[in-house]
Amino acid sequence: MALKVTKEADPIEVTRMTVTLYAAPGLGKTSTAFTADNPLLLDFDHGAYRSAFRKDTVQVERWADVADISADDVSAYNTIVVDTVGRALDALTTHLIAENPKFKGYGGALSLQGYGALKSTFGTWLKQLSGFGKDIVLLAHMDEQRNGDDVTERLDIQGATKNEVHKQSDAMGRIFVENRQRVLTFDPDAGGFGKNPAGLDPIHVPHFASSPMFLADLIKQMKDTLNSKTEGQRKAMQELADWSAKFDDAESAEDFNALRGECSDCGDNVKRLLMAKAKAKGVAFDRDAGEFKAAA
Amino acid sequence: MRVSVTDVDGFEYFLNAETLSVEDIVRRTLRLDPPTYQMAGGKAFHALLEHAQDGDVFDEVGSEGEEFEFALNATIALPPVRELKAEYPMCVDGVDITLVGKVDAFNGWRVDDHKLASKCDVERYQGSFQWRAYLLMFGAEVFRYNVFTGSKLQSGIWRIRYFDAFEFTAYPRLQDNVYRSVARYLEFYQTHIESAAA
Repeated sequence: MALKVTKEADPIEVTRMTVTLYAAPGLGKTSTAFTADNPLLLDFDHGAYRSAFRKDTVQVERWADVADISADDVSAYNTIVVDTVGRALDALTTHLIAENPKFKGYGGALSLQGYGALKSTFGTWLKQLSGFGKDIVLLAHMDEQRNGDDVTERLDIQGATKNEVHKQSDAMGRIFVENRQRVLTFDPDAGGFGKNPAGLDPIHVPHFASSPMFLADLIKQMKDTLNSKTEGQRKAMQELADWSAKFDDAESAEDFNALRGECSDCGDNVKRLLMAKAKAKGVAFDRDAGEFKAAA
Repeated sequence: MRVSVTDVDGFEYFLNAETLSVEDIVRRTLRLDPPTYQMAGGKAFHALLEHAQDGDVFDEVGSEGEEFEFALNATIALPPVRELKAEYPMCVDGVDITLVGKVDAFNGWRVDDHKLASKCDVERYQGSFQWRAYLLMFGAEVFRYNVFTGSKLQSGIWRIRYFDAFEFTAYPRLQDNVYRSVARYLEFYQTHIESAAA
């Protein structure tokens, strides 16, 4: 049992994503998911029949139906949709309690140990799905949390499994109604949770008859945006590491003054690092004189 | 006026705790109460990770007088730059403010913050001012919370049981949200702290 510390790897190309969408019932989560790229929907909620834009679905009756899902099972698809995470967890809960009575707590709910098993089993299952190289769309119902006059719309997912969903989601969006129009936002504002790595503005959800690839296009846009940042991230990492090594070699106020001149065109973070390294070596920056001086 | 990220973050957290009075919020925001054993543990744990190097393996280790036992198997990739300070000038409601803060680790585009917590709840972090402020101040794209869940045993040893990493990303209205939080803090400060001091 141990914690291992490693060096960071370079950022890599994003080829697949896990996207979580949540909304109140009736706002079209399932239909939105059917506009993903060539989707297979795992219908834990048994509500896919209501979607006018229905594509291939698996009616999941029990957890065992999906527990051992394999890459071959989904080879014909590009996206796997879990509809919904909450109901998938209900199925998994029933399965866990049947498998091990210790997981059954008061009133038929999960015991503390059971919740731990729920989180780890679901987390492992999600990682297994991700390992197939497909995009994953996780759908969740919305739950309102009131704090005084403030209302926060959050994911209706039980226990610590919510942490697991957040950890594995590359993007998280919320569908709500504004001025009689459905809006999808990935922003984590005060009113709801989100993850918006591509910096998308709130989007009016179109009618899917005219935009049958709505979610597929969005996910592609997110991947393109993230991949366009990869090179910049590599450069930013390298620049900071290079300057850090130079600053580590500096010893005197003269050294730091010379480096200050060298990095005058660099960004704020390099200059902040210069200040931190100089201070750590007992070299103070004299603001009035505008230069480093040996500490008295 | 200098305002620390920690102060605003704490203020917002306490403000949402409905059972706290204004006096409680002032005391906690200004950290007038003596440090708790959890704070001492958190400080020592931060010091451990601040000096951790590539290749280190921790099973049982001491730091600043605290002992930590890692009852988990996990790997953490840490950026090389640690404990980096930043100042960020802003004008909020006509008041010139310098927002100040220090991040645990930084790699050029991602900020890392370590937490030692008794339980892990992503919603606690999701609503936090801290990651929003640091993304803005450092011009970073991603903020990662490295959350270590554990407790101090009767023997005095901290047993760390879980490690979770949560990432939050910059978004278009990030700056607005940071300014709004600082404005709320400023109003509280002027009403309940500055006036009391005067």
